[in-house]
Amino acid sequence: MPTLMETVTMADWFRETANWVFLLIAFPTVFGAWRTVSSDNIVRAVLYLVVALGGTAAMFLMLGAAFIGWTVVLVYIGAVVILFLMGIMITRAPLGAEAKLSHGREVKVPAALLSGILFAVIAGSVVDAFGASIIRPFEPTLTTDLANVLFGRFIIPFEVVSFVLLAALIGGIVLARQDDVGGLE
Amino acid sequence: MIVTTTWFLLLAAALFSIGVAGVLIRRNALVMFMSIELMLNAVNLTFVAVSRELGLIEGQVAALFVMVVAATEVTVGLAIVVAVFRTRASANVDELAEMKG
Amino acid sequence: MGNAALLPVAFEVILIAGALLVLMVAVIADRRRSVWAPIAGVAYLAAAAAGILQWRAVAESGGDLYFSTPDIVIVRSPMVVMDGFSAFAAILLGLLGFVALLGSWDLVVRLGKRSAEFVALGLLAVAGLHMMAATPNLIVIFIGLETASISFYILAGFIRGSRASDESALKYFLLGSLASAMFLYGIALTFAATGSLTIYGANSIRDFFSVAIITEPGILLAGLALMLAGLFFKVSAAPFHQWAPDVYQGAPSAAVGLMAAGIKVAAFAALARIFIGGFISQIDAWAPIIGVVAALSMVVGTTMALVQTDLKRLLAYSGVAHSGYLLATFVGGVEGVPPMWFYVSTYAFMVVGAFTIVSVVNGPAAHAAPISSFKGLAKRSPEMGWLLAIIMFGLSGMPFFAGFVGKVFAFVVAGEAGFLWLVVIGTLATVVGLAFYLKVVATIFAPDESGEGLEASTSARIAIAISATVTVVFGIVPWPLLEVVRDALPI
Repeated sequence: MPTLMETVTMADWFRETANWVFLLIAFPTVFGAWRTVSSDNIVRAVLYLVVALGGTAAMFLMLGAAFIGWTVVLVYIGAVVILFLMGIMITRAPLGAEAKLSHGREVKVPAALLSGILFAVIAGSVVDAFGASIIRPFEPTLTTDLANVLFGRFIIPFEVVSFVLLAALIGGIVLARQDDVGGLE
Repeated sequence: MIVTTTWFLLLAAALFSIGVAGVLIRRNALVMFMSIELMLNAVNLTFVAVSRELGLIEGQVAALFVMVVAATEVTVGLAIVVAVFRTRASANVDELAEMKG
Repeated sequence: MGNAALLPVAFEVILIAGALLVLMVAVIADRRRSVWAPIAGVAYLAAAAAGILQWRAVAESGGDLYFSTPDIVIVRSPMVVMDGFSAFAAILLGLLGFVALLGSWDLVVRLGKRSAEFVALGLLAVAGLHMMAATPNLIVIFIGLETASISFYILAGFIRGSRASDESALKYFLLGSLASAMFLYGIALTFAATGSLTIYGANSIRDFFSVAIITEPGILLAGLALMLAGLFFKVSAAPFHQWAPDVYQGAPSAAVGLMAAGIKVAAFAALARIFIGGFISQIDAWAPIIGVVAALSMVVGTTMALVQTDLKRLLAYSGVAHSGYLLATFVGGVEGVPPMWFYVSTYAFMVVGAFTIVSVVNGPAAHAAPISSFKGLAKRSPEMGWLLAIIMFGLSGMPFFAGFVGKVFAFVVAGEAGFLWLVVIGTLATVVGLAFYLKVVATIFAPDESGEGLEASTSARIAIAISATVTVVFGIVPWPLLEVVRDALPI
């Protein structure tokens, strides 16, 4: 119910489920992302990444993009995060807190400043462009519609994506296979 | 007041900016790489939110393609990190100083 | 149209079929002899021939043809467009891939049984590069970019057990992924602003600009800026160039030619397709950004190249400067596209030739190429010495070489667009740049007592000769190529 801001009471605000559900998901998501880039413990960083990714997956569900949301859960949380954990084990990164995970203050401050400016610029332009528009949450997009577009108009990109997969497949084999001819340099 | 597209786009912008900061301040290649995944997720959130706002399904299709590409990037990236680890037993980027000039 | 229906994607189909054939033959054939490499050569030439057929089909139809199959849906929202622009890119990339393959033949032979993957990745990368030039859809441009980038990350790290090669791959990968993510966020914000992912066709960005009045341009500008930043990274324009010297130096010399030249051709093609094809009405917003980055690239590339002692790093910084000259053509809008094509096609062959000579002199897998190792090259191998000198003259922009013609046309376009300050900076950078190119030439002809003979394989000599021929021929008679690129516009 889009009423004027001044007349909205707290009760009205909470009557709209979408409002508090959004905030309930958004805050942990941002917190997870923040800890992913700031935690000194590499395993914790991965686990916070799970929180952030889970939060975006829930956002997709809230936006009615159920297929995308569950794909994020399966592909990212299910596979990519496991790959990261395997990468940590293979590279024998220390499991406890490690100060060397980040650069010092001389890099942190300018980096934080830059990302703050980036956020301010994009946030400002987004508010300008979409300030008043209302979205109806929890209205599902049919997966059938998605499939029709994907395998209709987007069939060529769908084929092209298989080139990327082929290149990555070759790359994984080339870079990881243990049979070097040696003495090339 | 009700949830608007802006909320989702702002959340995506925040996640993207945090990801950028992560790539810049991290020294460990794996964690830099996790930050890039965060950025790609923020992009997907933007695509889907705009797709809802404009009633265009293209945004969701784009998000699917981005996910496929991101997954392949992870494969190649981890293969490279492991290859680097084999030759120098460290995954920290600033210990890579074979070439300078 | 019948049998012409597959023509718009013929380039990609041939290269992917070639890559799959290479991988399959490598499994069954005698792995000590690289029988698959000629297959790749044939695939590149066939793909270039397909490009010529596309060019003729476009010329006959007198306009652009959308990719059409019996499936009518694809016609309404084209994912592949066949026009002079994409056909020229096909011819150029096919020939470039062929010359780069000849130039890397020594590495292919020495890699032995691993060379099948090397060759197949090259084919995949070139297919992805052409996709970037041949699609009006922003997401497909991104997918093409990723196909090429992922292949290049792997090629950079191909020499396993080499610390420099690994390091090169990791740096390229991390910064390249960051650039891809920024480019993609740019696409998403543009989508938010215009409601379209496609440049032509139904509900396109062009339709949007022809009817809509933009009241809140902020989000569109943010999107354009992020897309530009991503592509600037890929073409190593300053201030996004820091990765280039390290990556070029660490990667095997025989692979760098294709990596450096190919990504420039495709990224500039994509830049022209997006910004001149789609956002030409916003030129007042983006031209100044491109102008500033162009000037910065010229200055940074030239000054940093002056102090380099390694030829691979020098070529990387010279590549930064050349990105600047190439970007200068964009401020002229659609008038700048023919000069851009002329510049990038001659430059691409020069780069491939230069890196092939580096791989002949220092070994195809070596990462160091100190300029001192080229001392007395003209005596050790007069052929190599002269050819490298010609390529250096071409890169420096000396009159009667192709680089000069390219720069003149770039500056004329920038000047006519009112960017006189850019022309002044570009001219100064060219003059200062002569210093380091001539330093290399002087080293080549310096007397050297310890000079021992230098053996180059036939294929490497052919590759270098082709690149030097391009440099000289289009420097003296540029008109045929200029005539052709006039029809290669992204509209």
